[in-house]
Amino acid sequence: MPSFFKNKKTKTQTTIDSSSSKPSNGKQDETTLTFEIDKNVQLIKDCMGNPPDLNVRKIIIDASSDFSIAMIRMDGMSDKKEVDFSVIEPLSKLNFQELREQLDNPNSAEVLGRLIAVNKLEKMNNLEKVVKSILQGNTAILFSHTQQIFLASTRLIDKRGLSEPTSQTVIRGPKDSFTEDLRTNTSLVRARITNPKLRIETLNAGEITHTNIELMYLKGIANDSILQEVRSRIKKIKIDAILESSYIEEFIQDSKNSIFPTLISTERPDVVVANLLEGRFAIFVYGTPYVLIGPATFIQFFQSPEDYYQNYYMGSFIRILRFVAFFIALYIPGLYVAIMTHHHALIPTTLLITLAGQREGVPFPIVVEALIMELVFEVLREAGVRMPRAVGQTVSIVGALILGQAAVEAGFVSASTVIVVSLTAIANFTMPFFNVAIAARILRFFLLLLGSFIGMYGILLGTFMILAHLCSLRSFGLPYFDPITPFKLLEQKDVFIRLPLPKQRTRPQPARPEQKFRVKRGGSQNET
Amino acid sequence: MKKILLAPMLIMVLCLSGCWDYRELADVTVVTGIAVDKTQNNKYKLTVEGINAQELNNRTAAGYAPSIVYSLSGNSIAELTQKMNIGFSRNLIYSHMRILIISETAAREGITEFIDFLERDREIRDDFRLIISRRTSAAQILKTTYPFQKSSSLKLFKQMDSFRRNWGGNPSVQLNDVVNALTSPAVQPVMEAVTIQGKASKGPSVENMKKVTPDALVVLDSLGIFREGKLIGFLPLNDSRYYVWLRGKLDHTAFSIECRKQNNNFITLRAYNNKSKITGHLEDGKAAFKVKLQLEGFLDSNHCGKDLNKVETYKEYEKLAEKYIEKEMKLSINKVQKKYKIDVYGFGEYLYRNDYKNFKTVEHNWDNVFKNAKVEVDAKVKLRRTALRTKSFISETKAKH
Repeated sequence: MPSFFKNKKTKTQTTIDSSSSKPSNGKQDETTLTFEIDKNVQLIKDCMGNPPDLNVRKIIIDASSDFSIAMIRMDGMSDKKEVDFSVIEPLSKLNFQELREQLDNPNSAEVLGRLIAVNKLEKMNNLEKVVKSILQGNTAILFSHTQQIFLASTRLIDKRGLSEPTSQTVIRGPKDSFTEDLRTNTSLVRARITNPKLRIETLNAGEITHTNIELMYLKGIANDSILQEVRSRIKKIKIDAILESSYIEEFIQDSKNSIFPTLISTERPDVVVANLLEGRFAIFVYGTPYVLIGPATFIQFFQSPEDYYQNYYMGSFIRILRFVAFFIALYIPGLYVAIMTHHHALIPTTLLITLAGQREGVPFPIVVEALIMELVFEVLREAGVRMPRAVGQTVSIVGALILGQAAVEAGFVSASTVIVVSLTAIANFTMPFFNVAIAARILRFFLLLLGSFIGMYGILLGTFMILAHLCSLRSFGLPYFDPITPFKLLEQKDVFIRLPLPKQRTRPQPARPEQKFRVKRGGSQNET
Repeated sequence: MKKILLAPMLIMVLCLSGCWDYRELADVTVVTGIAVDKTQNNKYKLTVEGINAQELNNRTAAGYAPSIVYSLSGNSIAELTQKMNIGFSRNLIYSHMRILIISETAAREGITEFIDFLERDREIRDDFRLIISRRTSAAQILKTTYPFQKSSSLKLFKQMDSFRRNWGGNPSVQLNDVVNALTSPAVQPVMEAVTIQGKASKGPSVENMKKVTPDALVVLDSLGIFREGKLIGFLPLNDSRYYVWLRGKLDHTAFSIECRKQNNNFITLRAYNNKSKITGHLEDGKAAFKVKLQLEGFLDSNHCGKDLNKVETYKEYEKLAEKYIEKEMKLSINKVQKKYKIDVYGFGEYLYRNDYKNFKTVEHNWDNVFKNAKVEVDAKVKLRRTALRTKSFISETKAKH
């Protein structure tokens, strides 16, 4: 058996395999192409283990001189119709003598290209490259008596159509979202920025998967040194497979142990466009609708595209509301436990009496109660995400009615705890980006424990720890808490409130864009 | 290595030092009011009202007593507060204490000793009201039930607040007011006094809450006056109102003023924006003060039957009111000067601030100087409107006769 398959047995060996492929060219016997068409076909087949989806079609053009053509393509990844009409038909119509002459021609690819009507026709004689190209969906055309193999680009993969975003919805604003297909995704952005300055660079990662990654930015606006850093960081990724953009995120983020996200991930093309215009870059990964945007600041995770689509009073109001909701999601359980167990004096008298009345006869300490309810809610939420659609109603009835109402009526938990937990849960859903909500979800438990141990002092301690951490974080070398610390007055235009767009003439500076002004000073007639 | 050690150490710090003041809400009884009496053998008797929270919530109330009142005697209040579990099952928390009632007899013997504890204690705040129980024991006040707030302390707290807002008859004395007055040479402390109307013995029962006219009801009675930390007498509520005005705390009030040349016919003036300003000087150990009073108000009843379409009527009424107020205020101040011979109003504070050098010379016997001080009162009344009606229907009924 060829050495290819032996190597595929373990992951560690595969990494060696690709790096050692160049010196293995010396071995003539098994991995180099021959002049015999059948042998070449067999070589390619063996290379992939003769899979059932490998479609090989051989046409004997001239039996007497033993001249034949073979076409190899992956079924399901290539366009069958195009192969039939654009490749097989013109070739079979051709006089075989003529064809033979043309093959000997040094620029045979161009000559043949006139006949075969596909986007791109390439000539290769390296088995590994040929196999890789076939795996991408191209069709390999083999001729008798030649080592050259022609590859026609016939890639066509079934893909999902555009659909509405599922995790980042808006009331007013574009309703399209990215799909799993890389080219569709980039086209969605390109359609919105019809400007030659929009640049896309192709990068690769994943030793086995060879996943396509594309880096997008606006030349002249995005900061060059940051782009340089991104390229080098992506090149340094050492991983066998990339299934989602989060794989890349974990490799290229500055602080690998932080609970807070330092890259934005979005499925909305308008978010990508807006960020590109602020001088940020976007990383598209094949196979996922989530695009990474960087460098990110903490404030950005509270900015929904809707803030800009509604009028700015509403935009500002909703944004402040979101900060309040984040505070609630993070602090309320901790504060509740701290005040209820350590600082009774802080509760207004009438409220204290009501609360004390509710807690009469509740068997668990309030910390345990809050922890249990929080955990129950987390379980419910996880079940809600994971469960099959058909049983959704059952879970919500069981969750809401039985766990919530019945637990209170049975006297296992106090009504106030249920209120606190549900308030927290709802507040957590207001975050426009899910990954910052996750941070609040986990830190909530941390603050809850601190609050129960040492009361308000613990809550403050936790707050300082979180704030110190946030201020120390960096995203591609730029401060994460910008523009709050370091404080910049002029940058506050789009932080807690959103000023009207005509007033926002400068680009936000956190990403250090090369161009300071959105449009040139003195008027907008100068279109750049 | 250091980092690896740091994490378990931090967790240990939390676990070892934390929780010392951890108290479940279900393990505490909220104290809403305490009462201090003196027993025969000169010991303190502390009475505490611990509320039954479930009973105060309308949804969970089952008709039991809304609060438990328990008394204990001992040598110091501070010790007794921690000793209350002789009778109570749960930890008592004093941070929500709304009122402190001192019995008349205890107040006459002096309040300074246990005020120290109140001010010193970590848990007790300074926003509760200090009250004297007149003609009854302090404990009895705490025991008298009332249907609305249910807890007698909460009722009394609310009652005092409402009364001060509407009529201004009580100053709502807080701990800081008393401590400041006790330490100042220029003013003496006061406290509101309450008493029980009806049969005091029927007060401490749920039945008392079920009657249209409760058998026993705690009512505001007067203003207790102190000299050197000891209660020396009481001022009626009407004088109490003038006290509140002079202290600048009068919110709203109402005056009934007799019409000119008409006995038993009154106009009612509802006053707001009440201001008072004291000026004065000290010469040769003799003090003279001028009190400027200002109020705006509207006419709420007009028995005199004067035509309210005319400006003259307003001017006349204003004059009438000014005279009335000047007279009453002067009477009130003179009563304190002659009868109690102490400065509760803080005239001395004005001198203390504005003529410190001179005041220094009379500081040690300021109250003596004050009792002979000449006080002039000048009131300015502005009648702004006449409520909903200009012309009263009374004038028409008279016209028909």
